[in-house]
Amino acid sequence: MGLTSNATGINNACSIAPAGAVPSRERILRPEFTATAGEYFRIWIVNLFFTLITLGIYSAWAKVRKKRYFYGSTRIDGDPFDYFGSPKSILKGRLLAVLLFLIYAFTSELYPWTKFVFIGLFVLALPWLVVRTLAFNARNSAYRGLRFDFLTTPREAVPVFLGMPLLVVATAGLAYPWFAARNKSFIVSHHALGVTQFGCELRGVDFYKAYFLAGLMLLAFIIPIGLSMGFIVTKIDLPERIEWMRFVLPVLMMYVAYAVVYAYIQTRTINLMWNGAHGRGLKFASDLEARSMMKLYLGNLAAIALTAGLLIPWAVVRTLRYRLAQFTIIAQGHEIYEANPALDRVGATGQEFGDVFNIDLGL
Amino acid sequence: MTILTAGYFDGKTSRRQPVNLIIGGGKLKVVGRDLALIVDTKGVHRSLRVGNTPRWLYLPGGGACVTDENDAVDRITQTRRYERMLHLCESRPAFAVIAVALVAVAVWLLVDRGVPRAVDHIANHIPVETETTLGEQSLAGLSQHFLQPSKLPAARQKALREKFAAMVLATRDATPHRLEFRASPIVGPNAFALPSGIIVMTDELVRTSNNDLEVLGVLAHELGHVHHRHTMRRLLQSSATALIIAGITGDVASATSLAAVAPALLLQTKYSRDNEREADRYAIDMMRKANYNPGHLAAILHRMSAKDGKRAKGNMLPPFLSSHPPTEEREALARAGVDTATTDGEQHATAEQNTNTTVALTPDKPRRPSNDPSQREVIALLANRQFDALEKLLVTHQQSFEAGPSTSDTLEKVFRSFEKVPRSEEAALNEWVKTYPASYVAMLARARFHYAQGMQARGTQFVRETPEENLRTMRYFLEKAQTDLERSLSMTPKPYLSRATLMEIAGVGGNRDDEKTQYREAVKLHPQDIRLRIAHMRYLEPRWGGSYREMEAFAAESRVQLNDVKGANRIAARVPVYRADQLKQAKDYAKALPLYNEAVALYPAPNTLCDRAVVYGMLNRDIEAMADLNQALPESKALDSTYCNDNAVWMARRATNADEAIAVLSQVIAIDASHANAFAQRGWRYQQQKKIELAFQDYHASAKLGDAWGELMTGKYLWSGWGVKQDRETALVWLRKAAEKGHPDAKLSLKQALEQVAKQ
Repeated sequence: MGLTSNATGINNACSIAPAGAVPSRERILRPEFTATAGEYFRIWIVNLFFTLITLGIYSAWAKVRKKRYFYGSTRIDGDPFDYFGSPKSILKGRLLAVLLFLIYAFTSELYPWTKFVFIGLFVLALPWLVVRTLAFNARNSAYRGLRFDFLTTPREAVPVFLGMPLLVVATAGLAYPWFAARNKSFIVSHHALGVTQFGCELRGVDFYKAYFLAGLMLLAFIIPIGLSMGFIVTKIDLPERIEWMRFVLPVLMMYVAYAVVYAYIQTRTINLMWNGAHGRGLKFASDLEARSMMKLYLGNLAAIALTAGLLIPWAVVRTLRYRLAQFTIIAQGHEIYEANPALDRVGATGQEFGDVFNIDLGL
Repeated sequence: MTILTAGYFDGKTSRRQPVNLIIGGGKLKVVGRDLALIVDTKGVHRSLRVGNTPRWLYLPGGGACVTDENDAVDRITQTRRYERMLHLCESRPAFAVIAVALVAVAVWLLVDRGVPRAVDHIANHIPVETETTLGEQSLAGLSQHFLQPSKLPAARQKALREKFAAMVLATRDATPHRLEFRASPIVGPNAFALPSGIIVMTDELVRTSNNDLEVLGVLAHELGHVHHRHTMRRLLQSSATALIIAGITGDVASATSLAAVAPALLLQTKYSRDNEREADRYAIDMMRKANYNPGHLAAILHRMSAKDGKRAKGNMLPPFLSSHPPTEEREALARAGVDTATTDGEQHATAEQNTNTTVALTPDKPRRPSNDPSQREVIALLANRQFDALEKLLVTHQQSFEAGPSTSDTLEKVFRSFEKVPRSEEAALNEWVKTYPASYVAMLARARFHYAQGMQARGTQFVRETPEENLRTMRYFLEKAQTDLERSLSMTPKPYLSRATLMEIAGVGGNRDDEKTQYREAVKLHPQDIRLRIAHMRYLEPRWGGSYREMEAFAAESRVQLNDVKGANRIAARVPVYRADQLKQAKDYAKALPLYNEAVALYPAPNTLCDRAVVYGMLNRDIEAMADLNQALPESKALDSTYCNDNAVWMARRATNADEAIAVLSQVIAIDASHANAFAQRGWRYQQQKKIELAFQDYHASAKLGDAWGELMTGKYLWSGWGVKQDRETALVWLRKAAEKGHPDAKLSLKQALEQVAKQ
């Protein structure tokens, strides 16, 4: 459809390449993102409205519309992604998750010891939940008429999603960067388009470097904040009317510090992940800049807070736009992928558990 | 026939084929370079339109086409109504604006109306067992981390429990509750309600309170929370709101979701503030029903916020973020309660004259006229409502006290004028305060008036011998006094007299901690004051919960602090006096005497001399007793103290020498011209001396003061024309009065007199 105009030169070159020269069959594909804040705002506010007046029932349909909007607005090599998750199965999953959450909330309020039982059961079920969530999402996503897949079993996921977290706890967090690397490479490398699996090799060392620097940054923020806080609380005599600033100001500053460090760690880990990922005839590259991400996050934070959430769609769209703009696919010629004819349907429960219990899978 | 450009995927591989779609006649033709498919349009599934994203047509057999020509697809396929409506909503900016407004309204309705309703319903249907378990669990959880066992003495706990129970009983409150005492240095002065009606109160709160009424106020507030099931509601409400927030912001990145939920959180805190207000109102209502002054709640709220000051988080937060209403607001609410309570009180006071059944107050007693010219001037000014002159006079006194290192004696004497004002003058004092709302002296004057009213109702008997009616009257007036005094503190730089009076009120109320606090505050304002120290020392006596050791320590401390040796001796003398008083009460006069001697040697206070006189009298050493009385009475007069009067009259009655007796009684009458018994006794002494004119005058005076014996004698004198012109009619009036009081001699005399009248 002539949308990848920057790649067409190479495309043509392969047919008219002079004999003898090594043909550069490598194509640089940049995703095209056509979503606009205005359009998404309208979809978002309508979703929100119906979700509210149906007391949350519509949220499943809202989710599908939102996903379809962003999938349809993202094109690679001229073709959009497609999403066909069924709102009804998402709703079923959500209702079950809410039910379990209510049981958890009430029981643990009445018998606090059951909290540990619930948390224990949840931790044990975590590998299954993660695999089901990712599989549901992958199998309902498609590109060029082929469904994605998440090719693994919960048993295979146990070391990564149960063993590693326990190790992280046991080492008081020291193993976390290693866990992050294992976790990301596991997720990417078990995804497949059709029957063709992706691959991803990540080095723990790189993640340690990123987290170490993030830790330093956190210190660089916390010490000045701590000092200025101490100064404000003890030295400055605030007039009574703005006395409350004493309390609010440090919290606000901590929030900003958190956003900055979070932006940094996101930038580094996303870049590492994509740069280590590959598919048959495909390489990926992501060069997000920490500084731009920080500006983006802080801007989002301020805009959302000042408009009571009205600019959420704007924030979502501009964040995605930046992330996709820094993302490239290097394709070796035109690989043809094959469908998995045995792809069976899966229910939505797995993913919705994840939503309600608020696990950020970081994908 | 419509022709669209599209991409075709066969669903088996990722190969893309550019195609044209030809639609018409119920058929869809897919035509590409090496492709020609014809399918029935009924078998084709079409993706829903979302904005302007590409549309998919899923063909039977697994193939799919994608096209950007959204409008054409909509035109040729039968779009369902809800799909058209959705797209319309999502594409028009006007609809977006309406949607924003509707969302705002919906969120508001849900959180402001829907959730509380649902919570009400659920809270009322939660099984009792569940709530009980919840309450016990919360208490156990809190005990683990924040609470320690109470360190209050069991007797004090019991007393507070009983007082609260009495208040609950008096107001017929049926809210089930359970009071728990706990110590908590972390939580500080506080009380809170848990599910199933458990009310936890910290020792720190009891210590912060000035009197038990303040504690009762806070407990009533917590009972309000229990009554309205606030804890249970808050629990349900926060979970419901959390779910709604999770639903709304489910698709927002977690780092930014807090920013978006701020409005919902604000509504949430508004609820807990409404709860606090509701509980405040409940407490005020309850206190008023129990005849207590709601000002106590305001007072302790004020003190809690002032004490915690910058430490309390609630104070540092802006009002919209705080879950407690601003303290000023709550105090204003409680004050509003006070004002209505005051008018209630006034209505009672005026109703008193008409009916005695509805009134809880004991009647006012007649005052003895003041002997002091400055006091008489003040009383007259008040009676004539000359507030300007009153202000001028009293402000001058207060200012000269504040300016110089003078004693507080003059100032106190002037303000004691208001102790001699009858209860009917309350209206005048209220008017004065109203005319001069910012005036310290007006506020203090009214407080001293109420204080005197309360102390008069209390009398000098032991608490257990004082009728409940009197105690209630005392509490009623002392609370009024306290409210005014606390208000007055900020009205002048040196509110010494307010502090001193607050100290007395705290002491009389048995709040030793507060009494000490008030003493320290007062002594700061006037460090060399002797009278203050003596008043304070009274509450260090064992019968007020203190000990000899405390008394001695205080005497020693005062000796160091005071420049005036005589004053220090005067304070030190209080220790032997107290011991002697105890022995005197135990009727061990022989042992009491040397202690009184010791005290008199330190400082010959008229009261001590007077007490020693009684002991001498009991030991039949009348000469020494009379000597002491004759030394004590002139000084008592100078001090305007009536302490000695009753003892002096008692001694005079025993005296063998009529002249001595008359001398003593005359001194008593000079101090208190309303001492009926003194007049009657002196009349009898004059009668002994055959001075019947003088005798009649004294009998008549005592009769006019309501003394039964005086009435009888006046009647007899008038009947017989002794020392006065005979007047049988008036005589009958007096005899009848005496007889009505149940005097047996009077009944007989009246009968005889009436028989005589009948014969004639």
